[in-house]
Amino acid sequence: MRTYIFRRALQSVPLLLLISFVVFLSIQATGDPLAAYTVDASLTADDIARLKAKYGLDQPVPLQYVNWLKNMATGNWGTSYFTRENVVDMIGERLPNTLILFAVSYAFILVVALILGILSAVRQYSLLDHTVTALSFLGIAAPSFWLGLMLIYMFAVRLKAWGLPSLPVGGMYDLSVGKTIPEVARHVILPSITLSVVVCARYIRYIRSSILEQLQLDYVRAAAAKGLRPATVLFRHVLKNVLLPLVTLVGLDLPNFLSGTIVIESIFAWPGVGRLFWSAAERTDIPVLMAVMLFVAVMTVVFNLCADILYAVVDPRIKYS
Amino acid sequence: MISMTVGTEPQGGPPAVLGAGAHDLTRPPETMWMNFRRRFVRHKPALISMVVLALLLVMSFGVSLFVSEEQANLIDVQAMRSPPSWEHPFGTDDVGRDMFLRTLFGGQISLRIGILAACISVVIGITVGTVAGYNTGWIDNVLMRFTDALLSIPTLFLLIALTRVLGDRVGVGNVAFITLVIGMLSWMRTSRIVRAQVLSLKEQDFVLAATSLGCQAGRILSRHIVPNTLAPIVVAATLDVGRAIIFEASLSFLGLGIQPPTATWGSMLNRAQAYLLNAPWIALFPGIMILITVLCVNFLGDGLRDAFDPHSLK
Repeated sequence: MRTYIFRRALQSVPLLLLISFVVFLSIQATGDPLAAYTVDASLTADDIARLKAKYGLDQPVPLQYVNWLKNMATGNWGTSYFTRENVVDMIGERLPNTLILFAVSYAFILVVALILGILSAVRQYSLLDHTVTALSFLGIAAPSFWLGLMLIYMFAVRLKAWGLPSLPVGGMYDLSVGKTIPEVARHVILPSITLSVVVCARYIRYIRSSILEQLQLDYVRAAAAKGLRPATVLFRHVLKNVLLPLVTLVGLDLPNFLSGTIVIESIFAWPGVGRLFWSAAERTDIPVLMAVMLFVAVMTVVFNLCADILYAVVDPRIKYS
Repeated sequence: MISMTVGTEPQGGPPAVLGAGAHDLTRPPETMWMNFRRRFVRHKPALISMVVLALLLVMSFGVSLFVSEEQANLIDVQAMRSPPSWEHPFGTDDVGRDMFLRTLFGGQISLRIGILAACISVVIGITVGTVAGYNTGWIDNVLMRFTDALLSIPTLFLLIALTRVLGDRVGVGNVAFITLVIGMLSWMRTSRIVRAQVLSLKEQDFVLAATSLGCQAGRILSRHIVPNTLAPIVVAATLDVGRAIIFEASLSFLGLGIQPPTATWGSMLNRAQAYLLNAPWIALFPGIMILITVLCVNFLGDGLRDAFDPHSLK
C-alpha cells in the first residue's frame, strides 16, 4: 500500500513539471509582461530596462523558467504588479472563502444528487423521474453565469420587491452586520447553488443510470432471492457499487468546478481565488495570474492523486502492487 | 468497441421494402448509412434538436439578408430599456438597441465560434490521438503527458490568461483569435478517445493486411484507422460545440472576450447584471438562446451516439 501511494505520487512529479511549463509558456513567453507599464509615458527606456532587470526579464527564457520554478517551489511567488502585495498572502487570504463555497456546494451536490438520483431510478418512468430527467438535462446545458443572474433576479430582486424575506445579491457579509456565521451562510446560498447545478445534474444522471445498470446484475437477484428487503438491497449492496466510481468522478470534475468559481465569484462578488484571478486578468497582473494558475493546477493534481488513493483503499478489487 | 467500416457507397439507393421478411432476398442490402439514419430518426429528441439547430442557424445568418449589423447596433436613447413589445419582441437594452436583432446577430458569432472551435479541436485531437496511439514509446508518452497536463489546468483559467496576455498583441476581442484559443484548449478528450481507438484498431487483421500490402504508416492511418474512429469523434465534436459556445459566452460575459458593440450571447449578458432590477429581459433572452443551443447540441450528441452504436439496433 505504501509503495503504491509512493509510486503514484512519484508519477505526478513529471506531470507537475509539465504543467508548470505550460503555465510559464502560456503567459511569460507569449506576452510582454511589462505591457501594462509601457502605457505610462513618463517611463523612459532606462526605467523599463531597470524594471526588466528587477523582475529578471532580461535573462534568456529557459533561465527565466528555471528561476521562476525555483521561486515557486520555495514559496516565493512574487508580488503583484499593481498592489505590491505578496502573492502568497493574496491567495492565502482568499482561499478559505473559496473553500467555504466548495464545501457548501459539494454538500449540496451530494445530498441533492443522491436523493433525486435514487428516487428517479427506483421510480423509473414515473412523473418524478421524467421531471428530474428533464431538469437535469436543462441543468447540464444552462450556462452557470446566466443561471446565477436568474437566481439573483428571483431570490434577491423579486422577493425583495414583493416585501418577502430575500437573499443578498452578492458579497460575503453585510458590513453593518459583520462577518458572522449566519450572515455568511445567508450569502453563500445563491453562489453555491449556481456553482452546483451543472455538476449536480450530471451526478443525478450518473447515479440514476448506474443504479438501473446495477439492478440488472446477478448479485442483486441473489440478494433479493435470499429474502433481503428491496431497501436493504439498494442501500447495502447497490449503492456501494454506484458510489465508488463517484470518487473518481469528483476528482475529474474538479477542474470544471474551479473554472466555475471564476464566473460565479465575479457575479456574486465573492472574495475568493476565482475573483482574484479575474481581476488580475483584467489588469494583466502577470505574477498573480501565473501563481493562481499554477496553484489551481497543482490543487487538481493533488486532489486527483488523493481520489486515486482513496479509490484504491475503499475498493478491494483494485490491486496496488 | 465500435467496429465498422465507413462505406463510400452513394447514400441514396432504393429504400428498403417495408414489411419484407428477413429472408426476402429481393430486398436491397442495407448500407451502414441506412441503418444509421433509421436509428437516428428513432431518437426523437435528437431529431427535434436538429430541426431547432437548423432553424437557429438559418435565422441567425439569414437576418443579415434583411437587416445590416449597423442597424441592429443602432443606439436609440428614446427607447432605452423598454420591455418586450411587438416592436421589440425581446425588449431593448441599456442604450436602446433592439435585443431581438442583436440576439440574432449574436447567434452568428456564438454559433460560428462554437462550430469552428469544435472543428479545430477535432483536427488537433485526431492528429495527437493517432500519432500517440500509433507510435508507442516516448512519442506517445510525451503527447499523453502533455494532454494530462492541459487537462489538469482548469480550462477557463488558461483561456482567460491566453486571451488576455496574447490578446494584448493580436487585439482584444478578435473573433478568429478567440475561436483558435478555445479550439486549442478543448482537443484533449477527443485525442484520448482517438488514441484508445487507434491502440485497439492497429492490432486488428485489416491493418496487418494493409501493412503486408506495403502501405505506408500515413496511408494506413488516414485510410484505414481514422475512418474507423469517426463515430466517437463525431459525438465528441458535437458536444465540443456546446462547450465552446459556453466558453465563449463565459469569456465575453466576464468582459474578456468579444468586445462591444459586436454582439454575442455572452457579451450581451455582460452588463445585464446591472439592470436586473429594472430590465430583467436583457439578461433573459441571450441566456435562453445559449441554453436552447447547448441543450439541442447535447441531445444531438446523444442521438448520434445511439445511431452510431450497432448494438442499439432493434
